[in-house]
Formats: sequence, structure tokens, C-alpha cells
Amino acid sequence: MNQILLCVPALLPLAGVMALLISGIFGSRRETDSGKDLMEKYLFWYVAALTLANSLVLWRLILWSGEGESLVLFRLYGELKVMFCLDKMGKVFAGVISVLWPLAVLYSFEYMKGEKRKYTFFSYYLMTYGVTAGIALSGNLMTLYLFYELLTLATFPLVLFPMTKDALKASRRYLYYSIGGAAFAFLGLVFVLTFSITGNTAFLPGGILDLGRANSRRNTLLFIYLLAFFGFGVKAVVFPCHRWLPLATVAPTPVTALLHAVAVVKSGAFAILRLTYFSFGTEFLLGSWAQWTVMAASMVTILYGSTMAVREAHWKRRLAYSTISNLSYILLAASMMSSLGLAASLCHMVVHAFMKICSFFCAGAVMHQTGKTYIYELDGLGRKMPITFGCLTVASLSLIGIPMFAGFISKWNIAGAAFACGMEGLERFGSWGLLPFGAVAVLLYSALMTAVYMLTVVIRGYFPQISRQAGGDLSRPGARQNTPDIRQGNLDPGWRMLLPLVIFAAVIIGVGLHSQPLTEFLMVIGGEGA
Amino acid sequence: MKGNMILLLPVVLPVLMGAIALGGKGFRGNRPLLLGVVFTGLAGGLLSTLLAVTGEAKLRLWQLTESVEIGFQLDGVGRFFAVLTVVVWFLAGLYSVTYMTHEEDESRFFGFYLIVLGVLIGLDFSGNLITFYVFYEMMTLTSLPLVLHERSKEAVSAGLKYLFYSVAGAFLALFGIFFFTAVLGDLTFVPGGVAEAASFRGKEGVLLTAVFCMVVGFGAKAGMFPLHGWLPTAHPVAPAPASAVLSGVITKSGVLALIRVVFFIVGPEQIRGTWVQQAWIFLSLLTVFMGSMLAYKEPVMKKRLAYSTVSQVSYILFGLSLLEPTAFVGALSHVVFHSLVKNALFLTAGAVIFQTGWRKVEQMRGLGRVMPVTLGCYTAASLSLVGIPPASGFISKWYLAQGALSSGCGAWTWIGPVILLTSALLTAGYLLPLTINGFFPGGDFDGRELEERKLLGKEPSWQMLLPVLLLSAGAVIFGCFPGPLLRMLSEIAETVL
Repeated sequence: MNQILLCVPALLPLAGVMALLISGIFGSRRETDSGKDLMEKYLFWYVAALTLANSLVLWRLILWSGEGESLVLFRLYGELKVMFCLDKMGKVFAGVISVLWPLAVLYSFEYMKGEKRKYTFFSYYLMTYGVTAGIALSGNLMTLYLFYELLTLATFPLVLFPMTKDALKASRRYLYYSIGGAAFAFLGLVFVLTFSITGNTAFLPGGILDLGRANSRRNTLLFIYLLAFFGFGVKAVVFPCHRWLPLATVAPTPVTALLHAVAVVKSGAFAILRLTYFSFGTEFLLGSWAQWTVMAASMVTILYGSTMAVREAHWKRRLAYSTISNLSYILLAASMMSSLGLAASLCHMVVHAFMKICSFFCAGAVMHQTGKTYIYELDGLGRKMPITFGCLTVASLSLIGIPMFAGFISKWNIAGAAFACGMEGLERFGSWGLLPFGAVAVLLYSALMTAVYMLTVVIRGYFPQISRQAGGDLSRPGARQNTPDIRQGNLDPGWRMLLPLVIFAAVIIGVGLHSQPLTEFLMVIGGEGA
Repeated sequence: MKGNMILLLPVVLPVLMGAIALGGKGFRGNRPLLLGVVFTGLAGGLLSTLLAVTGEAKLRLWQLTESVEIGFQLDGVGRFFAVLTVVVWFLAGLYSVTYMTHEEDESRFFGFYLIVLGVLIGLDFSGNLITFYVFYEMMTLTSLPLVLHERSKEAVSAGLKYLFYSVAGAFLALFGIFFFTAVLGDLTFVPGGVAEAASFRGKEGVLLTAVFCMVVGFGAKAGMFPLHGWLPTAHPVAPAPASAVLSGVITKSGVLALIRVVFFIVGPEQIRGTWVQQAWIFLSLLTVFMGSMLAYKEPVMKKRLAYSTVSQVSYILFGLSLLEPTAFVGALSHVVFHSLVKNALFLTAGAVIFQTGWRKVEQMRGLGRVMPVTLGCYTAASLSLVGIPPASGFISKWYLAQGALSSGCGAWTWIGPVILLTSALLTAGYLLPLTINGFFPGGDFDGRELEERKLLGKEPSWQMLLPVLLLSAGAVIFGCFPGPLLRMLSEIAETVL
């Protein structure tokens, strides 16, 4: 019975969506004036129920499934099995998405209220849940690859959703990049299978390469690893495969927030972690030129992402650049190829999910309530939308890495991993060992840039400038009364949008203040993985 | 939660009162209530700090993650800074009662004013470097609204500049913190430093780089070159009481940071004679000279005082960088003297703006006829800063020069005192013209304008005058009777050097 449950989180949403789409075909004519509200209500309950049920199943699995339980769904050919298995690392990813998805669905219902084609939106939104859960539950590289491709197909219509010219361009670029990347990743899959010591592609902590054979073709394999890294790196937005993400912000905010800040990009990072720690293995990669290349690529991405975010005036695109930079924090930590590195990278994966979805939802709330999308339009909104901006402040401080917020914890761990790697590296690999120290410097530069690009928004919100034209001579008493009273009217959105925001902010503060349960669990994973 | 909870009180009480002042809806139009809350916070902070510093106490609060512990611990340096902070804060708070009547959003100002006080006490009581860093970041963020307060274009851009310089400095320092955590694990403050040479074998280069990063990074708050640029922009745009405490107290937290890092974590022996010490001495002396020079050329009163801060705080840093007991005592005594003097000066400048609207020094001719008592206080404070005996600045500069001469740092032993002297001359050059033109405007001065504006003999209210009086009196009295203070500081110096 337990084993059967393993396939539910991936397949339940898919089945649900099938039902929805079929009913949509037959019901499309009925979606006219009179029946519309009723249909919407049904849709809401249907999607909400499925999402919640799926999350509950995931939590049932996370809390009570034993180690090593697996379920082979079917065999493609020989050892190429589609197999589900939930190990500790999968639990981390599954835990994150199972918390975020129901809240994001709740948020979407308010956000999408005025939109047409809700059926399409929620069908694909739900379908993506299943596919992402499939990635978390994958028991081998083959299954992971399968769901990785499915993820592209399931999310492509969501980028296309606004049906504008921009959306068309963005979705096409997304498609080309993702499918191209997957092709490179496929090469990795083939080579892992060929050099595997177990004869299949199962995930084992420490990797499954047959080191004797692998070392005879060391450079080829390292090159293949790099190809696969950048292949999966398309979804994890590694420079130079990042260009689809800023464009993709044309999608509705629930999509940008959940998919382009969490599910899709973190699937890429998750796949890279699996590839590095569970397929190739750190023993093979540690100290190789591939490791330094990967580390350098993440550093470049961090620099690029955070610098571009400062230059960008469109709020959601700015956040997208921030995602680019933060995703590479995860990869940077992973590239330390150590147990500390794996733990730190998972830590940032979890923490960043909450911080970034919170910031995006704030941006979405502002867009939804006021229609403002550029940062220079936000003057004085902090007083009008106190709860939204309160949450945004928390998310911003956390992204910067101010202590007492969750972001500090993950940065602390990443820097710790980098220093440990550097200390060891100095002794073992000579001057290459200096690279991790450079990584810490990059991290701190990026933190500074984060302060610039996040806090300018917050400060604009809370402290709107009184311009000389509007206020006249400031030293004259009463001059400031000419400026419109910014306290008028509360523009905070409804509870369905606020509740997720408040929960995310609470989680950020909670983890920031008391993180041992999380970090200890992650250290266990790290200890096994490398 | 082990240890003495009394340490928590002076941190929590002002923050709580500040939060009430910020969040309370009833304060608009009800000034007495607001002031009641504010003075409960200030007086409570003052009393509980005095109570807390009398005992020996240690407090471990909780852990953010493994190896990141929040904890308090009292020692000589902490007591010294905490008492200085609350006293000055209280006086400047008293001054604000009148001053803030001509600003808006009083409750926001007072709210953050109180919160920063709590955070600063937390900074002084911090028992390890991580806790210190936590409060250091909080201090930057919570003092930002004080700088931004007027929300004019200049104020907002100055606020952003302040924020970015501070954050950049803090992150530079964080590099060092990461490094020492990785090597040492535990970063509890121990007089004389916790680091042992053995644990750094093979990593001396990284060690020195890390220390240098921390010197420059924490030096940002103290206005040390090259991260000094925010100070002359940010201090003058804030309301006068805020500029006073920003210049007088908050810059000292950068000093405290360097004391903590160099004398309580790294240990002076690790960097004695290295390039880091040389660079530190050089940067501080450069800042001393440059600050005085810029102040001398600056026509706007509050900006001139801000440049003066740049220069004077680097006196302190110079004293620390020599790693020598006498200079250390000189540096710490200059912390007190400069704090008192600079607060008095900024509050005077604020009083002038409040009563007359004058901002530039050249407008202030004949000020002695408008507010003789205030200008008298200004003169006393200025003389003290210049270093005329017996006023207090003389004592600290004497110790600094003596320390430099006996430090054995090569050419710095004589370059240092020469620069200090030059800068003292410049200090006289930029502070005293106001006194001279104020009291003796010259024969051609036409007093009719003052009469027309009804400015003659218009001293500010007692709430503004009293703090100025007390602060400048303090500056003079400490100069006449420096014994107890110097004894206390020498005791501290003995433990760390």
C-alpha cells in the first residue's frame, strides 16, 4: 500500500487535470453569463481540494515513509525504469512545494478573479504541481529526466497565457532554451548509464560511477558533466542560459512567483544536485577542472544577476534577475562538492523559495490593486498597503541576509561551506583553493546589490520624496500639506492574497530565529551525500 | 536563557516604547501622551542601564543556528560605551522636545529614536561577535529613518547613501566574521583576543586580508577613508538632535566594533608590525587630515561639523591602530570627549536653525547678541575640541601623542603627532571664527536687522539650552578632573594589551 502511494502525488493532479479539461470541452458553452459564477465556485473547490489532497499525500509520505521504499511504475527498456522513491533530499523539495502550492492556489483565485480562461490557467497550474512532485519523487535519473521534460511542456502554456506578443516571444524562447538544455542533460544520462557501477541510473549518495572505468576516460566524463550541468542549468538559470527568465515575467504573477521563482528553477537546481551528488559523485568531481568551471560559472551568474537587478526598473523583471543570482547561490554552494556544501545549498533552496515567492506575491498584490509595475511608480504605497509592504520588508531584509531573518542562515551556511572548501583546497589544490574565498567575496558583493535593489523599493514605499515642486519651500511651516495625504484609503488586497503573504513572512522570521531543526536535518543529508 | 535577565531590560524597554510610539494611533495631536511614552523609554533605558552596569552579568539568549549564538556579556568597554550612550541619548532626547515642534511626523522620529537606543545598548552589551553584528545591522536599519526624516530629495538620497555605505561596510566586515568563524568556531569576546598564532599557520595571508576587510568595513561607520563619503552627506540632513547622536554616538559604534575585533577577537599581537597595522595607521591619519581640511573649507555649519566628525573620530582610530596602552587610553577618552563636544556643537547648530533659520557660518555674525549663553557653550565645547588645556580635548590628544611617540612604529611615531597638531590648528580654524564673529562682529556690523527680526537675546527654551549646557560643561569638567576616567580606561587597556 505504501509503495502505491508514492506515485499518487505525481499522477493525481494529472488525472484531475484530464477530468477538468474534458469537462471543459463539454462545458465550454455553458460558461456564459448565468452559469459563470457557479462554475467558478466549482472550479475553485475542485482545484483547492485536489491541491490540498495532493499536499496531504505528500506530507503523509514525508513523515511516514520508510527509507528505501520504491515503486517501479513501468520499464521503458531494460534497466530504464520509471521509478519513484522518496529519500531525504526528495523530502526537502517535496516539503517545500507541498507547502507553497496550496497557498499559491489560494492567492491565484483572488489574483485571477477578473481574468478569462480560468480553466486553462488552473488546469496547467495543477498539472505543474504533479510534474514537480514527480521530480521530487524521482528515484533515478531517467525518471527525473522524464519529468523534467514534462515540466517544460506543462509550464509553457502558462507563460503563453496572456496571449500577447511579448508572451508569445517569451514562451517560445522558454521552450527553445528548455528543450535545448534537456538535450544536453540527456547526454549526461547516457554516460551515467554507461559508466554506472549498478547498471542503472538509480540515485545513490556518493554517486554511482564505476571509478575504475571512469578514471580512464576522466576528461571526457568531466566534459559530459559540464554539458549536463549547463543543460539542467537552463532551468536553474545559469549564465549564459538565463535569458528566458526575465522575459517570462510577462506571465501572470502566480506563475512567475511559484514557477519561475520556485518550482521550475528549483527543479533545475534539484536536478543538478542529483546529478552532482547522487550520480557522478563528489569523489570523482572534487578538485577537477569541472568543479572550478562550475564554481566560476555560478560566481559569474551571481555577479551578473545582482548587477542587472539593480539596473532594472520593472519590478517583476528586477525580481527575476534577483532569482537568477539567488539560484546560483544554490549552485555555488553545491559546487563546493562537500557535505557542508550540499546542506548549505538545500538550505538556500528552501529559504529562497519562501523569500522570493513572498516578494513576488507582494509585487503581484501591488499590480493587482493599483496596476503599477515600475518601481518609480511606487511612491508612498507603503502606508496604503501596510500589510503587503510589511511582508515585502521582511522578505527584502531576508534576501539581503540580515541576521534574525532566514536568508542570513543560508548565507551563513554557504559561506561556511566555501571557507571550509577553501581551507582544504589551499592545502590540496594550490592556488585553485583561493576560488572559494573569491566566492565569498562575490556573495557579499551580491548581498550589497540586493540591499540596493530591494531596499530602494521599500524606502520608496515608506518614505515618498517630497519634491520641491509639490511642496514648495520646505522650511515654510505647513508647506508639506500641499502634497496629497498618503494615508488615505487602505489598498491591501483581500484575505486570500494576504494570508499567504503573512504566512511566508512568519516562516521567514521563524526560520531566521530558530533554524536548528532545519539545518540539522540538512546536515544529515549532506553527511550522506558526500 | 541562562544568566542575568537584567541585561535584557535596557535593550527591550526602549525598543518596546519606540514600537508603541510608532504603532500607536492616538498620538497624532496628543503630544503629552507621546512625550510621556518617549520619556518613559528614555528614563527607563537610562536607569536600567545604570542598574545593569553595576553588576557582573552574562546572558545567553538563544541560537540562530549552530555556531551562531546570541548572547550578552558585560565588560569594561561595554559598560563605558553603554553609559556614555544613554546619557547622551537622554540629553539629546530632552532637546528634541522643543526642536521637533518644527518638524513633522514626530511620532515616527521619536519611535525610531528610542529603538536605536535599545539597539545601541544591545551593541554595547554584546558578548560575541555575531551578536554584535546582529545589532550592528539593526542599528543601520533603524537609524535610517532618522536620516530620511525630512523626506526632501536630499534627505532621501542621503539616506540611501548612508544605507549603502553602511551595508557595504558591514558586508566587508562579514567576510572577516565568516573567516574567523570557520577557523576559530567560537567568537566570544576575550580581552586580548581569542586567536592563537598556531591556528592560522599557512593562512596568514587570508588572516590579514580578513582583518583588513574588517578594519575598512567597520571603519565605514566611523567615517574612515575610503568609506567616509556618506557621513558629511547624511549627518547634516537629519533633524539636529538626530545629527547630534549620529555624529556623537553612532559613529562610535564603528570604533567599538574595531576595539572588539582587534583587541577581543584577533588580538593585537597578530597584527602588530604587519601591513594591516601600517595601512590602518595610514588610513586613519589621512582621514584626520582630510576631514579637518574639508571642514575648514565648508561654509554650511552642520556640514562643517560633520567633516569635523570625520576627522575627530579618526583620532580615535589612530589611537587604536598604534596598539599601545597610552594611545589606547587616549583613544577611549577621546570617545567620551568628542561625543560630548560634538553633541553640544550639533545641538547649538540646531538651536541656531530653530531660532533664526541660519545655516551658513557667515550668516551668523552677531550671534552673541542673539543667544549669548548658547554661543558661550559653543565656545567652551570648541576650545575643548581644539585641545586647549585644561579643557578635555587636551588630555586625549596628549595621551595620543605620547602613545604615538612611545609606540615604536617607525616613522609614524613623529608623523602622527605632527598631523594631530596640524589638524588641531585647522580645528581652531574652522570652529573659532563663529565665536569671534559671534561675540565681536566688528565695528561695521549693523545690528538693526537683528532688531527688526526681534532676535536680540532670544535664547532657546530650557529644554534645548540645558542639554547644551550640560554637555559642554561635561567637556570642560572632564578636562579638569580626568583622574577617575583615565584610571578606569587604563585598567581596560591593561586587560587587552
